[in-house]
Amino acid sequence: MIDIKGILGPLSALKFLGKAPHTIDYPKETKKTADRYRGIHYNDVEACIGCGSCGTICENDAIDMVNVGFDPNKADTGFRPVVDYGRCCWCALCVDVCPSGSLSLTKDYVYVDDDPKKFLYVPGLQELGKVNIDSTDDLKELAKIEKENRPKLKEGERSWYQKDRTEGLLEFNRVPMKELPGSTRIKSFAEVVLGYTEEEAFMESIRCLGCGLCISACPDRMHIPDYIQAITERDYNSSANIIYENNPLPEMCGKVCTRQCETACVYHNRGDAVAIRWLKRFTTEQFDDFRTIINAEVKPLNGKKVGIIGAGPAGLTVGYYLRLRGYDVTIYEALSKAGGMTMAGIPKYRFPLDSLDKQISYMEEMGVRIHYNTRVGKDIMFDEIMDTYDAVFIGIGFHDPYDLGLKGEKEAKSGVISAVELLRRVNFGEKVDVGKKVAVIGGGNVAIDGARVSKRLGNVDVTILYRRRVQDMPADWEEIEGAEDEGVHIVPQAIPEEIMLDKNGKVTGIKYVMAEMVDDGKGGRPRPKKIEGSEKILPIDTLVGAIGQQADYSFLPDEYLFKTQDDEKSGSKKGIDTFWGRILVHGYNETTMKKVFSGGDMVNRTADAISAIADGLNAVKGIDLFLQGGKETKVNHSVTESDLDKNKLLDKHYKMKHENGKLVSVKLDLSGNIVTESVKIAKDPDELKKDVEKKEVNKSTDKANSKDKTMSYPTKNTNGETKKEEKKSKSKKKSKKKKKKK
Amino acid sequence: MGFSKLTETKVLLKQYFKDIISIEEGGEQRLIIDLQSKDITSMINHLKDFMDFKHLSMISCVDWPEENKFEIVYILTSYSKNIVLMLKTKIDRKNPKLQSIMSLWPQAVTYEIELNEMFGVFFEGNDRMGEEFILEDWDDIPPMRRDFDSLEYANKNFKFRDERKDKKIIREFISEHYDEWRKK
Repeated sequence: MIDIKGILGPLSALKFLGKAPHTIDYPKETKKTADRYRGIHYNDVEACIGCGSCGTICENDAIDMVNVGFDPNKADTGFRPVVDYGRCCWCALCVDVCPSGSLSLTKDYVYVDDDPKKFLYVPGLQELGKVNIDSTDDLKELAKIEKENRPKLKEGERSWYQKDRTEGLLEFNRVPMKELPGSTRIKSFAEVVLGYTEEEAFMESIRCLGCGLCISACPDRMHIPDYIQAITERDYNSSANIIYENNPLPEMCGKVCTRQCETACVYHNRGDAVAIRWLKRFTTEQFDDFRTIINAEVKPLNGKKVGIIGAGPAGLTVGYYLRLRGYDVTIYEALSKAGGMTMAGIPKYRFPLDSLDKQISYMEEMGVRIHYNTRVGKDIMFDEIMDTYDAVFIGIGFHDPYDLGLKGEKEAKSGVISAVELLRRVNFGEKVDVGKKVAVIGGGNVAIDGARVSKRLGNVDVTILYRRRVQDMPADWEEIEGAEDEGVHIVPQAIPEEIMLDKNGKVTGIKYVMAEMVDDGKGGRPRPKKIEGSEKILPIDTLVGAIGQQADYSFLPDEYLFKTQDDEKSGSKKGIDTFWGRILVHGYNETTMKKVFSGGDMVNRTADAISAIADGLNAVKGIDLFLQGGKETKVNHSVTESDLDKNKLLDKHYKMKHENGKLVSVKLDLSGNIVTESVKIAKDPDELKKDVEKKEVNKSTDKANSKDKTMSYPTKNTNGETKKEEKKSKSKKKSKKKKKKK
Repeated sequence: MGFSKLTETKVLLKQYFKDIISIEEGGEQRLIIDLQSKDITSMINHLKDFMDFKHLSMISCVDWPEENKFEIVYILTSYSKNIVLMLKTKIDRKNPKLQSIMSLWPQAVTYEIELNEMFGVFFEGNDRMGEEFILEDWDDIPPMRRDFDSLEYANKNFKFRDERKDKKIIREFISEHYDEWRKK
């Protein structure tokens, strides 16, 4: 039988006739790599921010960071990854975790080479095999060349990259914060923001990569990644301790901080920044009373006295941290409550009174003395303060509003009020009648606060007049949105001209002109230019001015104020030098006058609470160095071992008290009651002897007691504490790192 | 009008195996069944012989060190019913033992050797248990366990090249140098 299959079979190959071959014309062509082949890395070095997340997640330690000539700035460390292909296993975790999305894997690869250095290179700056890395100097030169002539990856050349936000290990969406609806808000001064729950805070905290870029943007250099990490571990206690290391008003910052840190967050460019402010707020909200958890060491008084003018954020910071370092501090506050602008200027729906009280009362119990209703220059003279104290800190803030400079302003007998005054009066519980129609002039946060507070004073129509566009407003975006939610009308590009008055000098309306935006010709922000004939009149009952504030230096006698003429005559600077309404300070916030330091709004340019705290901390260092003759007092901000022992904790809480003309310190228990009276600071030698004897007796009894304790609470003292102690030691290590950072 | 095949399978399985921990739909034509480890072999037997789940797609494992458990996952497919089944069972992590299913599907042997190597799960009745799958001369704990520290292993077994001998922790390195800039 004929094998037909054997004859016809080979003919089936004819079907490939006319089809393109699978082979390639080597060496003219090279074979294309499969689409999913993971080759060497590519980094878009300009999009990269040098956060080091790629190197931190690497399971093989294959990534280092090197400086290749990029200058660091607030949101860029200037470092770029260098990959060691002797260790890389192409798991692409580095690509998945890259928050800027700059890192990707290409389809390029090199099989073998004699030179091992060719397998160590900076992705995006070097083509593999071309350049060896010998020193960073070479790299800097290389970066210069490559910056001009860098090969950009084309579409389809990458094999592994974050295609969109859903891929990768990152969560770009923030846990939303719950707020009261706009219609409910305007009915009362209840707090608008409701705060995170424990689970929400945890979900938000795990988004943080811990790169620490935010620290560079914070004026106070708070240890942000560390306290967020503590929230992730649900260790709110150490979270609060970390926060308290350089911020004595964390709850205030957690609620109203200008949060420059969030703009530097690695997520900021591609999604929502980590809600650093809300997380801090969450930590502070976990405790009704800070005394039980903050373990800062309070040094015994060292005999030096420091006077502080103004109990604002700067003054309070100086007072608190100087007290920790063993100084006797006294704060003079003109108002009946401490907090400065945070008390008088921030509306209570953003920052409730009780959360301020909580922080102030903690400070007072740590030994910070505050004299309320004492205006320097009236109730006590500045001379007296200068004579009494070894160092003086001025932190009076900007409480004097600028005049609007409008026609009719001086003639007006009622109906014109500054936003600062309005806020102060409302915050201190006074009744303010603003009528039914209010116009606010200005576009900053104070203007928005003024408008939102007016809205809450009854059924009021509020209009904001701002001379530029809405996007030019210096106020926070959320604040503007919040105001619009509550029904505040914003009229942009409106320049007020004249205040209309009736016969009795009462305000009846405001005349304003519409403006168009004109390029200023210098590349700066556009300027408003009046449009002729577009005058409008808005009938109002009250006009609220919020175009800025200044400091009131009237309490300073003339001899303390620096004057140019005197300077020219004597040739040396005497007194406190000011420039455009701000006090001039040097390195440690010292003024031009000996032993006088200053900080807060009237010193820094940003004029917010966190900058004031930063100023305060800087001044604390300066005052300490000044009074100790160049030697800084070391304070342990988070005492760890004794933290668990409540009895020891008790010893740390003192209250200063005047008794028979002498200053004595009294111990407090956890609820703030006085435990032992009259622990005199200067002791007689006989008394000291007695004390030592007493202590020895106490020690032996204490030992016996502690044994009893372990017997009665075995579970708590064995398992619970050891775990805690481990954590503590961890956080101790961290704090050491932080000190290095400082 | 009748029940869909998915619902029918669900009801039947619930009828036969009273000890099933949970059975739920995990998407289109997918069932996720959670059951006790003692039932797993009889369940797979039943599914293959009487319910037409002829295809074993894969066997996998999930490590749950927090619960001290391994979760073994079998994925079976029925072509006639067009249903994918995911059978899950949790076994003790300290003594991870399970009956082999090599008598039902010979190819299960490979999956079981792999799980033995990567997680240390022992399959009784598999005569090739203990063979090397891809790791040669492995002397550490099984590498897919979550308590295996791959960074530590890499640094123990592989040297840094000369240029990188003074390798630092990246975060510390950055904060050290970044601070110099911050101070300015």
